[in-house]
Amino acid sequence: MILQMNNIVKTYGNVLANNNVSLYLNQGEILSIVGENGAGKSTIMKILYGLEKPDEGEIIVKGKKVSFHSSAAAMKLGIGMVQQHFMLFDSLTVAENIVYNREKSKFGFYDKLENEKAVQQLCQQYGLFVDPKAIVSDLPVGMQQRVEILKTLYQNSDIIIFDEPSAVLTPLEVEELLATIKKLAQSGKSIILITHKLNEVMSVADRIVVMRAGEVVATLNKNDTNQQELSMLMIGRRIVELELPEVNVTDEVLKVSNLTVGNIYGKKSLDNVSLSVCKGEIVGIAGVSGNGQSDLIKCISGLNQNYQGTILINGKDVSNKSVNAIRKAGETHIPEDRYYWGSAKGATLSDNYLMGQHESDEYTKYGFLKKSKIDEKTREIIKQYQVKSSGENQTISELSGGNAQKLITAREIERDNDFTIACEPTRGIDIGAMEFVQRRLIEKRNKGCGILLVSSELTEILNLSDRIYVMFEGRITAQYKRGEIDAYNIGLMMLGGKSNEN
Amino acid sequence: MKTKISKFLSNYKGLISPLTTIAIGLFVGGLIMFVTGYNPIEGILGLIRGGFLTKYAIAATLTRATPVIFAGLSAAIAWGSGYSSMGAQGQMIIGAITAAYVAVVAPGPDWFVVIITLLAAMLAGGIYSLLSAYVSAKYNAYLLIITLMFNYVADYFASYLTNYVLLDPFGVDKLAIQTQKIEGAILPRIIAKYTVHYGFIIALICVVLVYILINKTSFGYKMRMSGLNSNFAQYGGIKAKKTMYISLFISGCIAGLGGACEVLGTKYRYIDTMITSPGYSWSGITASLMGNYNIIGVLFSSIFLAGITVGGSSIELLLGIPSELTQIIQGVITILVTAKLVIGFKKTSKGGKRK
Amino acid sequence: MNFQWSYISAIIASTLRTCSPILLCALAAAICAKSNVFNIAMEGCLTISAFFAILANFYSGGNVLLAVISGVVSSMVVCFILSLLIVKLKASPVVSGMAVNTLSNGLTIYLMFVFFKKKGLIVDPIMKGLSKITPFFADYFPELAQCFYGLTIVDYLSWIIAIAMYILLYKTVVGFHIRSIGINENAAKSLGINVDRYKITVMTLSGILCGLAGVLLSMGSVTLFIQGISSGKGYIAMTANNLGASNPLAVSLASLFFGVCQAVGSFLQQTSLKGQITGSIPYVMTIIASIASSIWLQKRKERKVKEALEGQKKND
Repeated sequence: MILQMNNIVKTYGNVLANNNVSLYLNQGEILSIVGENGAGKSTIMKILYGLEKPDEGEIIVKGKKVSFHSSAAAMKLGIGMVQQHFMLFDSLTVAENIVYNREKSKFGFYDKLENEKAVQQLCQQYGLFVDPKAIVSDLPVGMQQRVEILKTLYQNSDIIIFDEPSAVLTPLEVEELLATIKKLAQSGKSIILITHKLNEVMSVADRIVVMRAGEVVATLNKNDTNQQELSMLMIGRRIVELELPEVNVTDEVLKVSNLTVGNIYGKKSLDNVSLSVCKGEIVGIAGVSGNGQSDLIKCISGLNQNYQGTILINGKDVSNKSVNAIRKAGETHIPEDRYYWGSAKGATLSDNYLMGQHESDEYTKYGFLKKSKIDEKTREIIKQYQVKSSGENQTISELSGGNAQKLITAREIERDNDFTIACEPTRGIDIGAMEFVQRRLIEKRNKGCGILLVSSELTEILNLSDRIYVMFEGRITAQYKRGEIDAYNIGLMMLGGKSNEN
Repeated sequence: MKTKISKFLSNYKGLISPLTTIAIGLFVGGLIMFVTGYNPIEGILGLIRGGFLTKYAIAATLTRATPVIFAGLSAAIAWGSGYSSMGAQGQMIIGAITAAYVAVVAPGPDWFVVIITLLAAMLAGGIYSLLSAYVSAKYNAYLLIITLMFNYVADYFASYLTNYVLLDPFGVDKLAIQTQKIEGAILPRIIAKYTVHYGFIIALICVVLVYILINKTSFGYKMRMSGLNSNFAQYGGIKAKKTMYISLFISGCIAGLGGACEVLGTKYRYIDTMITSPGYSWSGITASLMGNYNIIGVLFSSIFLAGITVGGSSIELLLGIPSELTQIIQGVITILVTAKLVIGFKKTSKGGKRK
Repeated sequence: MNFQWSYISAIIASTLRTCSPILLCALAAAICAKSNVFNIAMEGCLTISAFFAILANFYSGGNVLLAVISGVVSSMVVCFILSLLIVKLKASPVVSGMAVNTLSNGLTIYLMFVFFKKKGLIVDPIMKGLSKITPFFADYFPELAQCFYGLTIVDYLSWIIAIAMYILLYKTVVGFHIRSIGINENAAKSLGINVDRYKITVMTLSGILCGLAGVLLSMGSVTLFIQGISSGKGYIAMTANNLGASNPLAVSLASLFFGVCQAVGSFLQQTSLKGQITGSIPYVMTIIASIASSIWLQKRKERKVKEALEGQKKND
């Protein structure tokens, strides 16, 4: 056993990210850790890589109990990590990236030839070829990842962690990556693979740890299990049915046709996406995060004004129009990230609540703010949504994440409008308030508003949606009506597989 | 007792950190006096007495505070909207030279000329600010550097005009290079005995107006949100460029007005380097920082900084301590504020208690 | 013909003289930028160092070496303190840098009054300037040597430093690490580099460079200290650094450009053009150069995108 993690506990504020997690790794083994978003996979890996400190528990590497608080220290112990977001120096060469901080030098001078030779040798040794002289930013993503792998090998890592390694790769690159991982294991390296994608797990892993809600729910040998069982274990929770009363679904409030977004290097983050939302229905987008949902929302809300395709809101063409124009067409938007987009940390609750209506007749007159009315409304919202705060004049930075989310969600759904984008409307908020928010969304729908719901909580999507689109790798891969599909099958679809019923 | 103190602290929380900062700033000033062989207690007391404790001192302080308030408001608007403009100085110069010209040539009754002059100076300051904003936004150049360069250019430009175009060779002061004296269209003193003039009243009106603009209007809301989180502003449909241009224009207008008031209220003419050498602009920026871009805070900080400057001149006269001491105190206060040293100090003392 | 050459060589010499302080400050800005710290305090460091050099010069009765050391060390200390504020206390580099700039102005005049009992100008026959170096080829090519008239050892040193910094940044392991921090601070941290220590060291080093520049101002072509001696050279140097994209060699060229502007400005002063116009030339040129470089960069970016797109098409 090369690595043991025993009874790891880690909390962030009130959230229990890892509850008594234990796992072990044998030499030359490929261990896969699977689980939904927020299941605690990244946390346990951050702990193992020295980026986070566990509250409790012990880590034993090569028989020695260790404690370390930086990735550099983890590296010294032979633990390397290929992160999802590469840690590379883009404008430097491959060789420079790989030998970094372990350079061969002569009298303090960087020895270009020797270093390139060393990298060449390393490439040969593992059969992972890449030009040491190439500039990293010129390489395709798959090659950049290979540089990351070579980096860990150059550091003499025995344990290599891969965090969602296939998220950014094309299918062909994924195949190469899986082959590489196998090869590394054969050469004696021990591998931990964190992923959503069950087909990859089934093709390379020796053993599989399934995590859910911060705990390890099962440890299985690959040969004793199958994709169906794994996906059942991952999702695992029972689904509470929420009543969606019959509503007259009328005309389309959102129509997206042939939406395509690509970067200058030709990788498409959205590929010919078409979808529609009608008044009086909630349409869910199911998908593992990073499959194009964020890009879709940015286009619809006007934060990205550079794409191909058309977007109609309330019959009005708002393609490539500004946020302001789109909001005027009747859109509101619960943003994905509550601090990056959704609020100004230094501003008061009432200022944060006002955003988007700062020019409306309801809250302004002749360009002046109706301060008392804004404050009154904010107080009302604070009470209704149980936002824990000292009042409307407190700054939002002093609130917990969940409470800030309540205010932001309320701001966007407590409006009399026709179309709302709801991204993660209940992220981080407590169960009671969550049900309240969900009921409000349904009430809003019943009043005839069209809602586009994006959530990493599959339960939420299934519970609230009249219709569901499945997104995978920037495309809409399937469409279902309410009740046509269950969590298990939609889970398979989200992971790029085929549902059993089709 | 303890709860009483903590209640007091929470009630006046907003006051504590500025007051502590000022105290530390004065302490450092005292330390420097001590090291350089002056009596620090005498010095500090002289500073306070000379700036705040006599009628003449108060009048001088308010006179000096007038341009600082304008510069402070100008900076608070620009920096509060998220744009680090150092351009107040150049805009004040442009406003001042414009005022010195318009007040002499404009026809009509005096009160009318004063109004025209003030408006012209505002417009000139505003346009000068817009110009730097345009260069910075359009060509992706760092606004801070561009505005600084614009300050130099304005200074040389005004100096050129004073020397060759508008020069009054028969000016009162033979040593200073100055423009023609403004006869009737001036801002008179509020009380004849004291230097403080109606420009101070205009400054107070501006404080009120800017306070209303920033806190009570829809546009002020846009400015504040852009300054606090530009992504949030964008998400809410606020047009970043438009907001930037308008807020920098207003910021320039107020600086220009400040320059005009200085001309119409104290010197009755433009004198070369009258804006640059007293360092109004930097005092204004420090004031806006001390007040955390809060307009009322800017007002009091400006008066405080003006007061210690006036006090500084008085200790130089009476005790022979160089008046630049106040510049040092001002710099120390700025550093304390930006490094959040005072708050940091509070935090550690709290932590100590818990243990 | 001869008359013209003497003019040209005078302008060249003047360019080189005015260039070196800007160059040194621009190199300071460059090495800071490479390690991802924003140093705007060059202006203040120039003033501080110029003053302390003169102070030591006066009190040591004209000991040039002591004066240089005093100037350089004072500027170094200022930058070290500033680096602690920025790196350790997370102070705003803009605000704290500007505060240093005004503080240095106040402090030098205050101390000037304390030590010399006057404000404005310090000049005294007891003080000695940096010794001027006559080029070794002066005897053989007197015309050429005129171009290097009045240059001191620090002027020559500034060019050596520019080359040395290029070698440091692009050829040595330490320089490699400094640059890497500017490219991706988190990656450098994750690979075990003590980023904070690097930043503090680099900023202190930049203080030494500004210190040399300050010494040049007060002990170069003239030996005196006057209020406002830095006259925006620190800010112009920042623009030179931007124009040269923080590459020491390109930064040198940009500094040379500003040197030319200043030299031409002071040369034109002798003509019928008014001093206020010629004096504003360096600042106007700074604005124009920023605009021009932005247009150029934009064009280059567009070309790159176009190439990438064409490359993409070929691959398809």
